Amino acid sequence: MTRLSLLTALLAILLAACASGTASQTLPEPRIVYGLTLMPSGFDPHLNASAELGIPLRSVYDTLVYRDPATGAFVPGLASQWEISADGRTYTFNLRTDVVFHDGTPFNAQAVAANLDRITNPDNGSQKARFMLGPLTGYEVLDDHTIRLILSEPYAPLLDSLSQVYLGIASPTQLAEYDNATYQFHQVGTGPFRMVEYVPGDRLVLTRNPQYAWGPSFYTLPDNPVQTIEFRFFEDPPTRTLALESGEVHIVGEIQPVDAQLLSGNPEIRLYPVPIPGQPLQFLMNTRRFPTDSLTVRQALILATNRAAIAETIFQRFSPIAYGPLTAVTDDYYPQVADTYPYDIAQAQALLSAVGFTERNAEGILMVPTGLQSAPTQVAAGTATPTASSAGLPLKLTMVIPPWGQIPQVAQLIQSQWRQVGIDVEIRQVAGLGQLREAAAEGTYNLIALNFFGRDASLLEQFFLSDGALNWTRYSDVELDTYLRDAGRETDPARRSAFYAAAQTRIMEQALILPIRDYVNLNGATARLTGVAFDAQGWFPLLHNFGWIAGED
Amino acid sequence: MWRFMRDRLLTTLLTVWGASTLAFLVLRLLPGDAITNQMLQGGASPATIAARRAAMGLESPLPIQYVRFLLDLIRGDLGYSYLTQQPVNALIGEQLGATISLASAALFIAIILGLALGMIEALYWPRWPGQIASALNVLALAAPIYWTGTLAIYVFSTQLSLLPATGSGSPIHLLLPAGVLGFHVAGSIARVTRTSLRRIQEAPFVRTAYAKGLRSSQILFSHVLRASFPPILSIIALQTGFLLGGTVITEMIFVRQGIGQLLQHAVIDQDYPVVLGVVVLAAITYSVVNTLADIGHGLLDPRLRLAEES
Amino acid sequence: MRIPLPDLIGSAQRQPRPFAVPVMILSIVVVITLAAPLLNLPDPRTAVAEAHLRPPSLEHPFGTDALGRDVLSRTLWGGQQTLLVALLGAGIAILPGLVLGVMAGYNQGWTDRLLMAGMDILLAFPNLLLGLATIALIGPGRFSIALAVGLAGLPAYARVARAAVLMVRSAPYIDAAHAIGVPPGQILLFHILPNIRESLFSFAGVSLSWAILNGAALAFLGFGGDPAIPDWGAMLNEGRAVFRLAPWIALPPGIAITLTIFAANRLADAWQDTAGHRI
Repeated sequence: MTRLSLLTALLAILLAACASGTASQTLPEPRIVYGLTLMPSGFDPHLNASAELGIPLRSVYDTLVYRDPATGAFVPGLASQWEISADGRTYTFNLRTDVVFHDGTPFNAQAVAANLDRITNPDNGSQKARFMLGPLTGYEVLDDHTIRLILSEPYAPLLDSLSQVYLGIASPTQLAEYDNATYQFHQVGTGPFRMVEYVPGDRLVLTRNPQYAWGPSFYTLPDNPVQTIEFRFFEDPPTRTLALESGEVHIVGEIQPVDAQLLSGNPEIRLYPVPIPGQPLQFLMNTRRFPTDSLTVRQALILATNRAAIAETIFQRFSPIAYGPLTAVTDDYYPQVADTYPYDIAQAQALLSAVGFTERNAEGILMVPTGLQSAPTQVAAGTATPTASSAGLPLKLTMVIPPWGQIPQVAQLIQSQWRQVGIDVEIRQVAGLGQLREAAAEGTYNLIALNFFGRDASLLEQFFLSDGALNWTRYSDVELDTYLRDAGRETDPARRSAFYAAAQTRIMEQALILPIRDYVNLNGATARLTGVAFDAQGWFPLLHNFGWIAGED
Repeated sequence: MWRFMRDRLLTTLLTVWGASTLAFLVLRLLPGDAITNQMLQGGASPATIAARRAAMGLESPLPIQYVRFLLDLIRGDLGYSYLTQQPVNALIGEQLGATISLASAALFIAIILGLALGMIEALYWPRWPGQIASALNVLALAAPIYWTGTLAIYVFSTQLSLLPATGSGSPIHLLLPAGVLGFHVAGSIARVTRTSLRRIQEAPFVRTAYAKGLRSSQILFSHVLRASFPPILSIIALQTGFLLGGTVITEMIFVRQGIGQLLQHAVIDQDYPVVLGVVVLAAITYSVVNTLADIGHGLLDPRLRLAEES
Repeated sequence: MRIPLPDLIGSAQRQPRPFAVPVMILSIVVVITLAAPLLNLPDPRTAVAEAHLRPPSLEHPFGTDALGRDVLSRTLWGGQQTLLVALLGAGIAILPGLVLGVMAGYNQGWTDRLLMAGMDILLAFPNLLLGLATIALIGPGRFSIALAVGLAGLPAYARVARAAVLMVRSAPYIDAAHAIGVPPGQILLFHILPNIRESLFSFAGVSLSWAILNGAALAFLGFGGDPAIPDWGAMLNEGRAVFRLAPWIALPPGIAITLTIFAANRLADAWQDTAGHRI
């Protein structure tokens, strides 16, 4: 009896499992599968912080403004025009009057207000969107189609923030109907695609919004537009390439660079390498720990790193070498930093000898001298002061790395390169961002790898302000703080650029980071997919432009 | 029977309580948590983060948090995800079906394959069928899932276009992942089957059966297999538990949803209520499977039943 | 083709399998990996960017990997790591597992229930969480992995030991021993343990394979510590990323793992065959 009922229960569960998931079977063709490379824990752009969520949702929502991916210029979105006050503290947006949400709710200033309320309500615990609004203190609805945002001080990145999916405008009707936990399953925007379903861990399905007629200037409807897109999670890199070849996925990002060789010979597949604005793959150097507390040692480390070899071996030449704290496609990137540190082993060795590393052990590793005295000319960055325990031992640096983005391979190559100048490296690989943060808090590292993405250079603040949340270089410098703070408040583009140029120069003069390569997202897509293009932030596709070449099948 | 059920229920409760308490303590000992990480990534200040943690009850003293957790657990409430604020019950519920499908299909394949390989090796060694079974057995024990999985996708999907590698739409989608996972598990089952079978072959009752003039096949299927089943049952019960570990990698490689993925992300993202929920689920699963295995032992071996009753 | 079912008694009574083959294989594996420092091989950690993904040649008999490291050298050095972690992990699983399992099986009643509930608690702990917890508590690296692998395997070994004890416990000769007043300790040592030896050895062989594979799985999921330290499981995974461009990278560690696991299993078989023959 017991056995029987248990069996019945099991059978029932099995049947239920098999019957699940047919809601999206009848959606219009052409239909494609888009491979995401991470499984975000939450898909609510107002509340969650993942970059991956923007890949589908960028096209579910419209934003008040857009950035033209070609020029970087701000162009009208849901706001047909806007005005920034002379003191940079109020932004007045005139909204389009012809826009309707997917659920039929009309778009207006009250809708924008409802979204701002949701994002800024501390009870909702927004992980990213709230912080993108900077010193926003409130808003004023001037009429049904005019809204004014009020800041406590000038905040230059605001337009860039408002152009991103995290500040996409959702239907106030839906926001009122669902709570924070459930809205992500019932997202409604005004964008070119509407969300059909989201099954966590399995798929997110979008289908085209036939009413869409208010897209930004660079949205163009292709000949045979893709009607339905199913997003699925391809977390294992080798599977991405195999599934692309077998046609199970039609477009997928972050192809392994080595697989490019296999795919480039395949006429059915096209590669789309997209440079990503933001920070390069970089190692932050701990300025409060021996021996990276010495500016000279930090400079020697950059000089001893053969970045060209790394780019060629690991990234198969798809990535440009990085020289500074911003990638070349980021706003206010300062190209002159490129000349600071060429690959020069001799120079690196000379610098190391200059601070007292002259003896080597049998394996060729430099010995930490016992009575190391720093040169008095060294700046605020601190001086090489060996702890009692390291004096007389071989020179060994600790490098903490996350497991993603080929960083482990890069770390191992650097380890080999530095051994040539007599520096040993211990690599500590951790499981994820949380564990990386813990290692950073512990402070027992010399180098730690982390970088964020974003078109606006203000992302440097978190990393390089003395009190920045991610100031893992532990560097504290009034001069650098001033450049970054002034740049954040400056609304004149040319002067802002000058501040950032000074900040980038300062960061590299002080050798706070070891930049390796500019990020390039290597997308692979079937050749039948047309209009493959990405937005100004690099990661997010312009799904509206996606078309399909019909063929025999 | 009553007593057996009562004892089993008690041990189940004990297991669930013990595992969740241990997990609760371990997770609280670990530094960091999902809320802090996500908010830091968004650029929140330490004060904002502390306020948020307090609102979620994470700043209360540990014993209070524990009592709160236990009371919720008794009511069947596993709490809310730090990250998505969804009930953990719902998160697990969404993924459970897919994992049960994968695990039961894999277990089915593993049992059939494991029994077959084990029997063939026990009976035919050192002739060639035994040798082949033995080689397959070693391969099943030696090849990591991530290798057999990738190779299977390459051969059956990319090259031969025979089977879909990814997704979960239909039973056909189950074949590759369940086959790979099942093959992996079959190795252990085959080994124990062979060991147990050979041990029983030597038992006197087999000779008696021959003496009575029974055919080999009759003896094999009606006597030997039955008698050699208890350890096989134990290993199958054990493997059911280990399947959860196997599903983590299988689900990742074959792009499937499921508990394995949920757990892996929760562990790496430090979304501890979800991790705790999966531990509770695993504890219940083990208890149920082991109860079934014990019932099975009793049914197969009358001596055990007598011993229990006396 | 139809293969006739062999005579059941006949197949059981054939010659026991030899110890020689598995012992030889294991010795060769151990000796070669231990000899790695003496063989004048290139440093297993030294990456030579220009020489990456080179096919086997005189200079690199097994070719080079994606970072230009010598695959032969990494295979041999990696063997030391892999075997160490596996032996440690298996040891942590087997010794306490055996004691607890036998105690539970022999005593039955509440001792059994409590011990097995304790084992279930451990079993209910996902491997991943064990990995994370050990790393958080004692830092990343091979000892964390070995401990996690051992703790994961311990309840399994205890369960198998218990099941084996249960099988012989109710046998007539045990009842007889009880009846004539043999003390429980002696019954356990001289009557029960010798009769379940083969199951235990057999499962020890499986445990070793498990330890190798579980260690590899944890490393695959990112709990491995320093990626530069070679290890067969990690090499297999590195080789997997380029298996179509450079199949030579995964082949040596793959063969090494297979051989080791094969030998461990055969050794267990040989034990078991001699035990069976003795009866």
